[in-house]
Amino acid sequence: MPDTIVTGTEAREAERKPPASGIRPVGRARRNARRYFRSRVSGWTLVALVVVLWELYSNVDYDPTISSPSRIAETWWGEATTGDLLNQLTITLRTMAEALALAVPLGVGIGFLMGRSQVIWGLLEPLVEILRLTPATAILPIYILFLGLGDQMKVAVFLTGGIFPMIINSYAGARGVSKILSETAQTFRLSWLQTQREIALPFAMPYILVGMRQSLGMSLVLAVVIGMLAGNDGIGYYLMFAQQNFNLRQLLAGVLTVAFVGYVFNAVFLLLERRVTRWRRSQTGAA
Amino acid sequence: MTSTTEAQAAALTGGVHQEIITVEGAGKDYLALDGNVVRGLSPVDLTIERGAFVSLVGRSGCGKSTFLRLVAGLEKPTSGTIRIGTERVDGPPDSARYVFQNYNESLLPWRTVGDNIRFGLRHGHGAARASSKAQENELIQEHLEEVGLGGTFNRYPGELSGGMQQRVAIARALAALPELLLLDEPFSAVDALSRSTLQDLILRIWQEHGLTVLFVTHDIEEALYLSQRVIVLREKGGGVERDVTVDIPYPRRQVDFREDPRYLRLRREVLGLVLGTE
Ligand SMILES: Nc1ncnc2c1ncn2[C@@H]1O[C@H](COP(=O)(O)OP(=O)(O)O)[C@@H](O)[C@H]1O
Ligand SMILES: [Mg+2]
Repeated sequence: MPDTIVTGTEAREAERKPPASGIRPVGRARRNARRYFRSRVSGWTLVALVVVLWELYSNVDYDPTISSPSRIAETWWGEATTGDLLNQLTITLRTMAEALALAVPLGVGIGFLMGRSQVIWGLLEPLVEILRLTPATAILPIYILFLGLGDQMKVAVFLTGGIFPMIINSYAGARGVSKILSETAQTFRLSWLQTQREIALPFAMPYILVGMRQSLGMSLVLAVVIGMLAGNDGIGYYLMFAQQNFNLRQLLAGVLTVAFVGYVFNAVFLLLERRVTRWRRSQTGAA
Repeated sequence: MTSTTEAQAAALTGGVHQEIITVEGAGKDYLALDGNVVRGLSPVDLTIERGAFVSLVGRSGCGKSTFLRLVAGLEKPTSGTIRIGTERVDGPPDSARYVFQNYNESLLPWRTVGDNIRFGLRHGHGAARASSKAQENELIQEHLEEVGLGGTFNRYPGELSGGMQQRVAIARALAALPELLLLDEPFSAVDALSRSTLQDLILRIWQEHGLTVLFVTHDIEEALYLSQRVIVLREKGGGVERDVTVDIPYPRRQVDFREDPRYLRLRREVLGLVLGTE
């Protein structure tokens, strides 16, 4: 991940000026966001280039099945303002939020405790492994059978599909606490709870965040699939509907929306990770 | 350098005997991963007086770390007992703090230097000293200044040099107000010049805090320069070879000390013991 690699300049900056003691989170967030985009200027140029070439090509060689970026954009705007696109997207995001509100504490909690307690690991490892290797989409028919097509079913699918990256990564982080750190906690006579709070949790935090980011991405995939299979509402349903009506532009507008949402989620999360794990940049190698 | 405290002078001359560490037949056999039993340390009997500065030297693998870890309660002896004061060691004692050789792995890298000291302050006898956060910050700043790191409160350990990180680790241990400081080859990974400075720093801290210091090193010159007593361990966990008294008064000075004929004689003796040529 280019985001976590210490650049020479950064290291030198850190050497030269000690961090200011006054913390200005807003200024820092804006600076981070700016750096996020500046460091990716070439990538965005590439994306823009592809769009422009596509536009030019579709004007030269008209093909009604492919359409052009400008016409897709037009459709998107129409769908977003007067159509059903944003409504369906909101429905999907709300279900996702409900599911994640459950999945985050559960996934991080289970994974972390499995990494910190041999007893809990022994108790949960088989169950977690069996469920993890069963595709959520394979369980979907069972859920539909028992829970119907409502929110309950969808939350259940998100939970079974999206929780595992958090369990696995939190587990890896919690397991990774070094012998020396554990013994440091021992020599300062920390209680079990203090050790988790002051040593293991901060140590595992970068891993936990990676797990949460992966879960978020997976949830988006599931959101689309659920909508398609259940076929009653949400962004997946929207895409299905567009496809069944051979409305290619509507379909592409929907796909681009999902892609955009996914990208924004990921970017916000990367920025969050960067802030929470700021200390990591002072460590060469470990980052 | 200030003169030694009364307790330390007493420990040096053998005037008052008040043991802080009593080791009775304590030894350690490890069960290695391949199932074999490895001798870490043959049973040892010794006492260490309150306020003393004692070093352990010997070849790699002779059991220096094992001995220190037994005293620190990080390892359980397979035979014998260890007492600190009157209490039997069973887990890390409240009155001791341990400074690891790998300081870069023992500091909390996600906390600033100041917050690392706060960790030591809150998890030790230092906790009651501060009634407000501002007061706590002041204490932390004092601890940092004591080790010459006044301006590093808001920096991260990863931004400091090795020698500076080890100072943070020492300040963190001191913030817990221990009576006994256990150090396992604390300066072996820093450059020679920083090492001299750190040696003088640890002597000053020993004297000003009236601490008892148990110091593991493979560097015989370092052991002699710092200590009142140098305990030479036999190789391969063979136990105590000899207990050497370094009867040279403090303050000692890096350059002069190394020309002192008493030092030269002791160095010859200890080196011979460690190399097995005496
Ligand atoms: N955890 C362990 N498991 C097995 N053997 C060990 C362990 N720790 C130390 N030993 C063995 O005990 C002996 C003494 O080790 P140690 O106390 O680390 O020596 P020193 O610090 O003097 O170099 C060595 O032979 C070492 O291999
Ligand atoms: Mg050792």
